[in-house]
Amino acid sequence: MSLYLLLLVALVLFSLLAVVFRNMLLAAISLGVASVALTLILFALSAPWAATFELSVCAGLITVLFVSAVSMIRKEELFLKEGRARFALLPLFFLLFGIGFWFFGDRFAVALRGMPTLGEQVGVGILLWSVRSHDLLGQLCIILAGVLAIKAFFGRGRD
Amino acid sequence: MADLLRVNWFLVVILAFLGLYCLLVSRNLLRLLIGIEILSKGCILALVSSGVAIGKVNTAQTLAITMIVVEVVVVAVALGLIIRAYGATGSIDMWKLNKLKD
Amino acid sequence: MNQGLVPFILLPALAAVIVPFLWRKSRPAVESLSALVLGLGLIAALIGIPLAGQLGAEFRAARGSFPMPPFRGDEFSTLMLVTIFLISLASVFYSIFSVPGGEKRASYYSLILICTAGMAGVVTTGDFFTMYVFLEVVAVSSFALIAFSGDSEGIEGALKYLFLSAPASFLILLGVALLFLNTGGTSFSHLFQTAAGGGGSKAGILAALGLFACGFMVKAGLVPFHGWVPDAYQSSPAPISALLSGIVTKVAGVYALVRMSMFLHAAPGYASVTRALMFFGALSIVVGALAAMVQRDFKRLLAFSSISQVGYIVLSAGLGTPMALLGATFHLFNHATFKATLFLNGAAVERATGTRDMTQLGGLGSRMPWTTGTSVVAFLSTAGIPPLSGFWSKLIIIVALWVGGAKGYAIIALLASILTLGYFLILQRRIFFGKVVSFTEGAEEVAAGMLLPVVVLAALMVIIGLYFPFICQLLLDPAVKALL
Repeated sequence: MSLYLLLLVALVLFSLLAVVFRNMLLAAISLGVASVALTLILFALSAPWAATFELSVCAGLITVLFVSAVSMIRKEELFLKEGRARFALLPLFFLLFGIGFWFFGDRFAVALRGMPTLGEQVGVGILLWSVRSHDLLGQLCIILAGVLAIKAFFGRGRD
Repeated sequence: MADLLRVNWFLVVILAFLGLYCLLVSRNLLRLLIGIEILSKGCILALVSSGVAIGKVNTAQTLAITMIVVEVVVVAVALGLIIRAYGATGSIDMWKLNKLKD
Repeated sequence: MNQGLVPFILLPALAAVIVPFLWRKSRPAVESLSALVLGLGLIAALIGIPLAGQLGAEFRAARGSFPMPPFRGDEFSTLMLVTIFLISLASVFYSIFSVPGGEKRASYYSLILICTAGMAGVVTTGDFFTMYVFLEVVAVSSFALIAFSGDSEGIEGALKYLFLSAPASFLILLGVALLFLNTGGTSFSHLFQTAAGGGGSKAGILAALGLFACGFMVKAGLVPFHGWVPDAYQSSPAPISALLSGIVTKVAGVYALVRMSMFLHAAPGYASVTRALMFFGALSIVVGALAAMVQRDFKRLLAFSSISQVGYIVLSAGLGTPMALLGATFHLFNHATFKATLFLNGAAVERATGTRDMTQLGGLGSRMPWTTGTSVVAFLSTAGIPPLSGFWSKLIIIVALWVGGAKGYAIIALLASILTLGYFLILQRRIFFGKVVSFTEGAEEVAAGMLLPVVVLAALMVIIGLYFPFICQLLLDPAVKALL
């Protein structure tokens, strides 16, 4: 359990660093490390499929994309002073909300009684392809849309 | 395991606030994208921890997988858009993008 | 898996894949293919209304049973499909004729097709998570379409949309996670049976619904979440503004809000959410109408007007009585036709005169008769003048509000309507019927192909208005039965 808590702390810490670092390259790497922490958390929650996807996609692909985007931008542009003064009260608000949530959050979830729990003996793969096949169609569509969007941004107009 | 659920969701709340804070405060377009990414991490944790709590881990995993795929496409397209913005205006400063109000 | 209404998604998506390959061979082929696919979809949706009615009836009949069968589509979904394909077709038609030849790259038509496919996905699914996935499809294609012209204005509009739409999706996802936690699933059936049967935690479901409401309100462009709307509409290329205003905001946000109201009225105890919807709807009506009056650029004016009209739809849907829902769905369809017409005509005016600044325009009526005629019809219909279709939908909404006990809101709606009417009349007088000024001297009427969609839409407004009782029986009653 203590290892798990350590992972949670790591997740929050590196996400915070990603927000705070002035150097965008370090921020991107920090985000990647946070993704690795999340991967380990997911493994600990016995969700290996989700963990693998998270590792390869978020910790891998997204970090690579970020770093390549950062490399395309001139150095001066990357170090901007953030306008943080206006929102200095926000963390205080969050603290109050967090305390309230910790003590009263139980009301938002109740143990389920008599819910049909079909489909849990089946593996993730079969679940994905039979029960949630609509989502798969959606995934295809969004990949198509993404490819077309990138093509629209960077394609050479062939006339 | 109500205790585990509460801890996990507390994390979700922390990440949500962190991401929203990042979105509100940031000037740099890339950092805004980092804020969106942090929000996504919160969602993934929320989905999987809910699944674990009610015993439907596999369903939660399918949701999480689909969500990750969708998020990566959105991030890729957003980065493309930011690069285009940089190419068009030479800057990734959010405060310089206010030509449309007149 | 029962197919339900899925083929509506597949056809445009397939066409979107084929288009880039076809573009090399022959441009006209691409254009005809796009128009053909969308036209087929429209006809199929119209024919499918009674068939979808069967699916919907099955779902409603199974309401008391446990577990509930999945939702497969009903008359409301099909009405939305009709609207989606109609406006997409109008937009594509305009695009075909507005650029002589090759400026539009192949991906333009593909993006419109995949956007249509995504919207079809949103309205035909019975699961909140699948709705999220298809909403992102629509969002991604919208980013690319808004920024398509490549100038910095378009990019700015797309970025503003991105940075408001992404947190909205996040809110919806958190709502899905909460729903999953409390009901064991993410579909409509799960929400329904748990809310009615009292299984999960009430506070939890209420929180999930609240998160959904906030997320969808951002996507719909309601006040105070409307920040992205004026910039995105103003900076996108004209046919895309028509698409955005006509259906994207509706499908992305309003459809889900109306569905939520529908469920909440069948399951008592969640009234706070619908009351909140009514409040934000009324707020949008007022803010949108007032802000529209101080704009100089007509695209921005139309953007604020859209915010106001969407407010009418959400206000009425929030009330939830049968008459109110009838008014809301009818106004949804009507507004799609009004705004598509106005944006397309606005683009024509901009092409002909070179300016979007309304203080510089005048006397267009003599130079561009068709554009003027259809714009006048659309303006009057938006303001609610009989016997046009807009009059009927606004009337139903106001009467439903009055009868349903929300008298204060009814008065607000009526006053805003009168305000809009007055302002539009003044505007029309000046732009179309006043003295001809320097900008409009050389203006010529635009090509026939570009006029076709707006003429068809304007004709629809007139016909629906005149034959209202007939239309009511044919299309709207089934839709309302679905909503209950």
